[in-house]
Amino acid sequence: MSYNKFESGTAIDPYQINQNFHHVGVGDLLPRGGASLEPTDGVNDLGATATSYAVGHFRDVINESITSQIDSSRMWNFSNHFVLTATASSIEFSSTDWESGVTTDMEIYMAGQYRAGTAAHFGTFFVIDRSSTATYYNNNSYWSNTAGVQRWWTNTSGGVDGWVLGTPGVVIPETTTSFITKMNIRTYDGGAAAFRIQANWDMAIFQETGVINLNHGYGIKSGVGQVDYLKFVPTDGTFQPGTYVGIWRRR
Amino acid sequence: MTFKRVSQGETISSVDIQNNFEHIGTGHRSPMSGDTAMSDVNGAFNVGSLNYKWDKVFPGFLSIDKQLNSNTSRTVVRRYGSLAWSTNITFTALEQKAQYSGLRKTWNKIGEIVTTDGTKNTIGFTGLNGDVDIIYKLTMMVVTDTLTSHAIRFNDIAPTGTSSNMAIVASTSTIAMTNGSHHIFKGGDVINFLETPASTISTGWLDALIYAKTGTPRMVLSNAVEGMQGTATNTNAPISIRQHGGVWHNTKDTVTAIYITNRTGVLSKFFLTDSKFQLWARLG
Repeated sequence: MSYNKFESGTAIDPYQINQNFHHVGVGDLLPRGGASLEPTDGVNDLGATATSYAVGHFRDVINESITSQIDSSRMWNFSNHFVLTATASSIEFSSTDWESGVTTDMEIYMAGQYRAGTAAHFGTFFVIDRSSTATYYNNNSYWSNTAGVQRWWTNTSGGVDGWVLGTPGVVIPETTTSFITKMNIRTYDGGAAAFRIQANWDMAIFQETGVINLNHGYGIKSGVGQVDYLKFVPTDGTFQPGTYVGIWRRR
Repeated sequence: MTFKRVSQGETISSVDIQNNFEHIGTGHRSPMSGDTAMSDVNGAFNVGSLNYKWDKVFPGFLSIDKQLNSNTSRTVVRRYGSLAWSTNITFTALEQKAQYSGLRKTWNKIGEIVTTDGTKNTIGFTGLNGDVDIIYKLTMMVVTDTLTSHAIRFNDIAPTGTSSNMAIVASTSTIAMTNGSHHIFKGGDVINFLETPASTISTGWLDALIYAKTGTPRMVLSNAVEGMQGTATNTNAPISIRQHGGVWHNTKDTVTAIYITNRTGVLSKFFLTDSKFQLWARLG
């Protein structure tokens, strides 16, 4: 059903008027523009921030663009991921990697390989929040290795602006270790308890001749505002090519 | 506001014209049809099209009857059968293909199997691409009545490379490490990530994180509660809680299949009815 443009000095008959109503109101609801109300692509919005529709009722919703996203506080939203293509002595992220302005919780998935430096051990990973005035509050872990050693390890010393992944003193007889971990981080000011960030994770470390399992819990004290920077820094050694980091968020 | 059709030779009032605009433009915006009344119809029309998309949509609430998808999908084959652990997995029957659509920006359930009888000891998902999906989440609730342990097996016939694993197991009186002697198992198997006790009937629950991309060894990190009994006559607490880590020392072969199987080699150790397995991924 085509649209008949109203023009001064040009008669328009009732049929054409009906056509115009149908053009606008019947069939697929398409974004339109121009004097002939032709369909347009990707320009107009349906509703607005200040004047949103109450409920959208659909049978299917198709979201085709690879850059588009469904951003909902009710589900975990994938933000970004990276795979190292070269050896790296640290891995850094800024808020542009996870759109921190509306983020309340983060999940970080890491998997890859780490090569120790001079000491043949799995290096301690410090995760740093640059903007924070926080102090390293504590770090607790339970770990077990192939030699049958299980240990509870705790550290409440202050002064480090970050927290620890891995356990100091865990000696591994190989220089290259594979690891997988999932971290949960609260990214906003923790209120009265002054825990700006608190998190815990499960971790497994693997190598050709053994396996170590770890559980960690830790907290960072004080600080204002949201986390806008994270940095993973081993005490020695490097992350190897192929190491993966995926960032998820929930607002 | 009803719609009044404009007809040749018939006068239409300004009120009717105004009503027509209000019929189209105000209030709830429902799909319309019909030449005469432009009345609301259900499910016949689209909002936007493949060629003409709205840029943003601002709903306060989004109600979707069927699915929310991004035209991104996986055709995952759900397989199940009864195999000895030492047998290469070569299913030729009992296959069900299902196409799962989903979003690129969140987790999507890409496969689910619920057993309907007690005659299968192996289930699996094929049609995967670990290099695209990178991380899988596996959730399973296993119903058993026999003592056995379970393995994750990557890929089909004779996967290459060794594997090793370890677990920290907390039971009623002890916390202990298992498999500390570092066993090397059949290539592609990451074992003992869920064990089930001998009992009348019990369930085990497990969540696993699976890193599947080539370039580094493939790894499984899981947490499980084992041996839960919930019937009137079997009310024992879970016998153990297990944190497990396993690795498949193969950095090259693309992960195309993930199987869960019992590793005892006894065909009669089955997943009983209503054992449930879900595989989740972000559709990259």
